[in-house]
Amino acid sequence: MNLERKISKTHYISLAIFGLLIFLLVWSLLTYTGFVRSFFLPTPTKVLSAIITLLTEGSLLADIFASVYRILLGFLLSLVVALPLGIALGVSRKFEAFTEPLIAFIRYIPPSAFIPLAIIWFGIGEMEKVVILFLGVAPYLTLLIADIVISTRRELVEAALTLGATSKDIITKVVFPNALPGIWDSFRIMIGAAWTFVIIAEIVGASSGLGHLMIESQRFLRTDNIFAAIVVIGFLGLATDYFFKITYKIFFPWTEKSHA
Amino acid sequence: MLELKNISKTYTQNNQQVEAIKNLNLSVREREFIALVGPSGCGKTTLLKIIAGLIPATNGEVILDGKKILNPGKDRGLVFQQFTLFPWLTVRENISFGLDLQNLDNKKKTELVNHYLDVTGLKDFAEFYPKNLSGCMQQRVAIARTLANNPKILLMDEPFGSLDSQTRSQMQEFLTKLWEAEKHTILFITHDVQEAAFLADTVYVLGKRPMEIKNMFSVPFARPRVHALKHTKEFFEFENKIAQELES
Repeated sequence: MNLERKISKTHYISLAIFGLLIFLLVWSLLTYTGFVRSFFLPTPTKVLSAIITLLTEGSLLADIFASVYRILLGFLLSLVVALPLGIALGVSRKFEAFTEPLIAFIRYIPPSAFIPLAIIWFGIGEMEKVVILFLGVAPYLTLLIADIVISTRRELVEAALTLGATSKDIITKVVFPNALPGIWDSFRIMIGAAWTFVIIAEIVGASSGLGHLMIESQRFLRTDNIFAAIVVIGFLGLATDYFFKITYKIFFPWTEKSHA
Repeated sequence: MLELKNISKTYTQNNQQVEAIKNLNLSVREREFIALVGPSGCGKTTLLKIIAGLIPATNGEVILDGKKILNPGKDRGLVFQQFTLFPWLTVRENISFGLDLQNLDNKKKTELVNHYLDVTGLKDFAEFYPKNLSGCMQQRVAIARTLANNPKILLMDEPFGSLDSQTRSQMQEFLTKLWEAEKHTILFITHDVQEAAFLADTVYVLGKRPMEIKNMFSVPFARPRVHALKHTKEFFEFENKIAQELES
């Protein structure tokens, strides 16, 4: 819900830049003046140079690649399971009764609680990260998709039925296309959550990845490198968000939301 | 052609049995335009959904061309009061939805869709998405979508109920013209007496709780009917007669 009148695109962008500038200004004021010691909070220039050094001489690119790769793999695996499961949950009360307690049970266990067990089972390699991601993402994604499917307007289904649609047609030609924009949005939300899980898993035990970079930097008291990793994650998140916003408009020009 | 035999519907609400429809009998002849007028909340929509096969009757049978109705099917097209276009499909694709479910060859399909784009005056909007159409245009697409499927009977559930009075009146004229040109069998429900009298051949007046048929009126006005008819003394008197029956 938006309470204000629409604002123009340039107005929007200038406000966004203004917000960022204020953030940078406060950060600069705190650090360049020496108000906060550089060991706790490095200056913006120091963080920037840390990023550049890590990129050119360190392992930053490889770490980014490792984390992104894990997220993509874990997310794809979750998607393959959550999509059919979520749709089935949304359209069938029987299936809901059969699976919902189990899914809700797993959902309330934080995925980090599985890390000790996952390390015993799979070691600290890729498999363990993907399993943690899967346990964190799949149950939530399933329930998000189920909720979107359940909210399909009854009249759309009834209209399709009176036009001769079978149950299978209802799922493939009404429920699914109707739910797709919402599902696309839920991907965006869950990829954000996936970052949380991958960083935790990498901090606990890994030999690569942004989480690993941070815990290593902590051991060597390299606050600037920790901040470098945080900033990089922030920008990757920003890029992901932008990707989903753009693709939403391209894929779903028919939604009320997507008037560009 | 369509026969309703002793239709009853009871449902439970707050642990109480509510009798919505009781022993309703009605028959519709081919190419007849019937309007059912009843007060809001008298169970008109329920009756239409029973005929469409979307909900079961507690008792009684719906028979279409000698066959008992148990499920929804494309032989009974339904136009809803709410907007029910598929928002992810263009106008053309919406009209084609029912045809796409059948094994029709593309040429025939395109011909049919073009025909209905034409008769509903939507040619210029064929590639629009529903979100870019006014309410009245959306309902025209819904009518075209249903007709393209060539149903034996067209069920209309206050299709103009959510439109303002001016577009409503335009849509009534549009529907009359369409009916005069193509002569479908139509069962139209409304709470608007004027609408019923203007559109139908036969008007049934319904009573409330449980729903029953109170009276039947044959509409005496010749076709083609135009908007001006509503301002004649005869129309006004006829409308009043129905309204009095409805209120009694």
